[in-house]
Amino acid sequence: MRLREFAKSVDLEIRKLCDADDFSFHISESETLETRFAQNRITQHMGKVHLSGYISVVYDNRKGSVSTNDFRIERLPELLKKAKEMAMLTQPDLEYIPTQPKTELKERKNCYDSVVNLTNEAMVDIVAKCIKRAEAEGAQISGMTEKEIEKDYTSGKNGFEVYEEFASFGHSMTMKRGNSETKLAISVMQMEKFDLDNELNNLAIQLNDLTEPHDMDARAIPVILRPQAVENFFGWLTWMMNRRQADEGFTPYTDKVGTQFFGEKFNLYSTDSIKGLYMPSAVGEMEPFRPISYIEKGVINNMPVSRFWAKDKGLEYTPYPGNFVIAGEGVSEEEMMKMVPEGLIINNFWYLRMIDAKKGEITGMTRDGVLYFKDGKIQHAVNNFRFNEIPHDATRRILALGKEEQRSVEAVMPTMLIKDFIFVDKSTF
Amino acid sequence: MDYALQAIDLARQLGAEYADIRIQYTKTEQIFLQNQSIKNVNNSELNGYGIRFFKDGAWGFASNYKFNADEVAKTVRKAKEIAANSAKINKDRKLVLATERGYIDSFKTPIVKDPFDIPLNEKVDLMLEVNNKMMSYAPVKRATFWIMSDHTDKVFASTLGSYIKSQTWTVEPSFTATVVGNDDSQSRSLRPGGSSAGWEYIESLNCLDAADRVAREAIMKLNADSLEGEARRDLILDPTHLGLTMHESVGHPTELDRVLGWEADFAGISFATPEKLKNYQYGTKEVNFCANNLLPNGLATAGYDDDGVPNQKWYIVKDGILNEYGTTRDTAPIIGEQMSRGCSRATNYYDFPINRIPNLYLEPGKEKLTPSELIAGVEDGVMIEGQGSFSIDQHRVNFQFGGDMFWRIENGKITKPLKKILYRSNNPEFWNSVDGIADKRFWKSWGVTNCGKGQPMQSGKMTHGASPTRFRNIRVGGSK
Repeated sequence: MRLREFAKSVDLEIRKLCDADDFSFHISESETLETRFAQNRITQHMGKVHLSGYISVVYDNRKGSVSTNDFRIERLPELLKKAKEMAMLTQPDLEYIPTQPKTELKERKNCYDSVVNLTNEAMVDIVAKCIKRAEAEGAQISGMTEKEIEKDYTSGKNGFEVYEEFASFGHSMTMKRGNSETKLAISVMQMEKFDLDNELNNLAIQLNDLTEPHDMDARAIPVILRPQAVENFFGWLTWMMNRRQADEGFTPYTDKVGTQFFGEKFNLYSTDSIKGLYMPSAVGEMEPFRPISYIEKGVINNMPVSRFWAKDKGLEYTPYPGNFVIAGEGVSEEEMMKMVPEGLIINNFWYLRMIDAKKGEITGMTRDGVLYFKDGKIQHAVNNFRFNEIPHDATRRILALGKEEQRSVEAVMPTMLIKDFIFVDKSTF
Repeated sequence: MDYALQAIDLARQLGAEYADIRIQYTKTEQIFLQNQSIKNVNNSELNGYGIRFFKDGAWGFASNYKFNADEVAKTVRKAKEIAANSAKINKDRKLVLATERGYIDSFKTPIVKDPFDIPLNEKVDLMLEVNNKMMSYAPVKRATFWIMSDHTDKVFASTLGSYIKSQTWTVEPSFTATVVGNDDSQSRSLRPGGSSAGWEYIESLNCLDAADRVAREAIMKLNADSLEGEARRDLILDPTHLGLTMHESVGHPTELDRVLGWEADFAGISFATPEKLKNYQYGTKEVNFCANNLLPNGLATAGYDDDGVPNQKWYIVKDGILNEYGTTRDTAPIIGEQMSRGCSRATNYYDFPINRIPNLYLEPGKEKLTPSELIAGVEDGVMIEGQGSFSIDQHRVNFQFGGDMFWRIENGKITKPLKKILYRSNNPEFWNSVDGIADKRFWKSWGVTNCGKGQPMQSGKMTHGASPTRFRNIRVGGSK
């Protein structure tokens, strides 16, 4: 039986058997192929079938839930009994909000045959080409090529129901020669958008730029962040920008909604208008996906708001982004290099962590190559650095934005030129 | 029907040079409470099996959750096909497995009170009491408490003739008080780490007294100063802090798969390359890092690893010198080792076992030495407890750590609390600055239950430990 029909039959049975005031049910089936390669050979190679899901019940605002990968119909009485017992033994959730009623949802296509039909042999061929190219470059290559097909069904007692299918192909690879190493990663929902030769050419160019890095001390200096670095750095905003946490005084965004808190050039939004970008039918707490402007010209328009907080404070429920876009302007890297006397080009960041939640300060290190430019031209590679920076402060120093690029199924990012990015330490390599 | 034996028989028939099956059932209970409101009570179970098939120097792995003879056979065949595809690539670079023999054995974590036998309302009552205690302090605006208990039943069988049954338990609590001031917000936590133990571990923590201390110290932090600028200062690091530092700067760089570049694309590689074995000065001569998967209550203590290699004890760093790595059957032969140290572990049934950090701890000082004596020897320094921000490069050399609670040390005495402290250092500077380790009376363990590694990411478990340790002349300062 296909997952949709199976999930529906489980849902119907739960409705017959469950006497809870409210319940929600979720089931997910995934099929994956994952080929890991390192040092020009395959080290791990996996084919997986997995099922997961939960039933959550509510009695007098007391919640209990069971998660399992065994949803056989004959097991449902046992699972529901367990969930009920848990609910009865616990205390009420003072912030409980009932599940959503039946809601009209727009069907979104996130599953394409070109990925679904991709064979293990074809994926191994991709790895073979990567190794061949690495050998031609006198380098070693490591990475993973993967395919995932996922089917999800979610429903609630009050009528909400959604079924979605998603398929993606991901390929990431790190090429290393001597002490130089660099990486490119991409994920797509259609194989037509994956050009291996182009990826390998770009990776080889990126590696060739990194030979013999010069020693350089840490200081505040202009940076050109390439899209992967932008995604890693500003991805933190989606964690930090929570309306309740702001209202309760835990983050820098307290009382900042509607104000110009970010730089004027900074726009962050989710969208349903970019082809090839993942768009779920429903997001968050059983809500239809809708495009949302979070930050427009530096003004905070919206922050994610839970259904409880929305009800309690008279706000509109606002989910976390189902996808996210930082708007670009189309300025080229060459043009950016001419806009400042000198600076660094950053391919990627690594190991980002919060160091001061109230100030919104995060730390992290550069990775996959740093280039020093001066007088409008790349001069040479340099060592890696540690930064301690505040993302909203950094947006006030944006000088230019490149064209938007899609390197993952969920995000679109531009290259970004930022003045005086704060590096606090240099790496020993 | 014994699906383990069925899978192994079929793998042999299909020509496996080696094959194994892990049938793994894991149940987990999580309770999360925030501001006296029960946000989540969940009981989860995960049941399935993963099969590895090794032939012609290459692995194939397939997993499934459907238990019947046809599905088991289908999964073995799938693993075989995948291995054959891998072998096309590896024909000139074949993997080799370290020597091992078969074992028929069983293992069970020695627990006193099964956490799943403790009634849920008793757990919730304790959590509410702790929560109320923290919220009885007016500046505490948010109080959270999370308890996780899990239990895994595993059957491992291999073509070497192994048939190993294991039963393990993990318990982990964590609670936090967060206070908000005019222009700042600070939190303090009790995060003792996970333990391979029963509910007796929770009882031993004296949570109510700890809640009082946590709330008071959160308020103290809010009103505390930071340090002006960065300067070379001494550090005394408490075991509740040092566990994470050793995890990142010693545990990960000495995983052999990283050393070999197998994690180069994501988790990173290691500076601790094989030519440094037996000669690299990792730390001062006081520094001995013991790998011990036989450690009582250790999260990596399970009888055998997921290669079917028995748990063992060895030194990663001996008298300050890099001594050995943590290895698996497929990594050890690459550096000429005949046997694996047994560090191959998978998280769930559907995960491929990877080279993991063993239980790894800093041995206590051999001479009698108290934390007070360590502090007495510091003119200008900071003592750090608990975990905060942590960040380290992909070669495991340069790092920056925060903490959860900071105490100023001046002229041999603790003078006041501090907040927003960071220290920066690197390998080999950091461990070569150790000049004092308190003795075994002060040794404490700290268990990690969420070590992220691998592609796709797996969450591993292992236990660290230390006595309070003094580090000289480290860059320490306040965040901006």
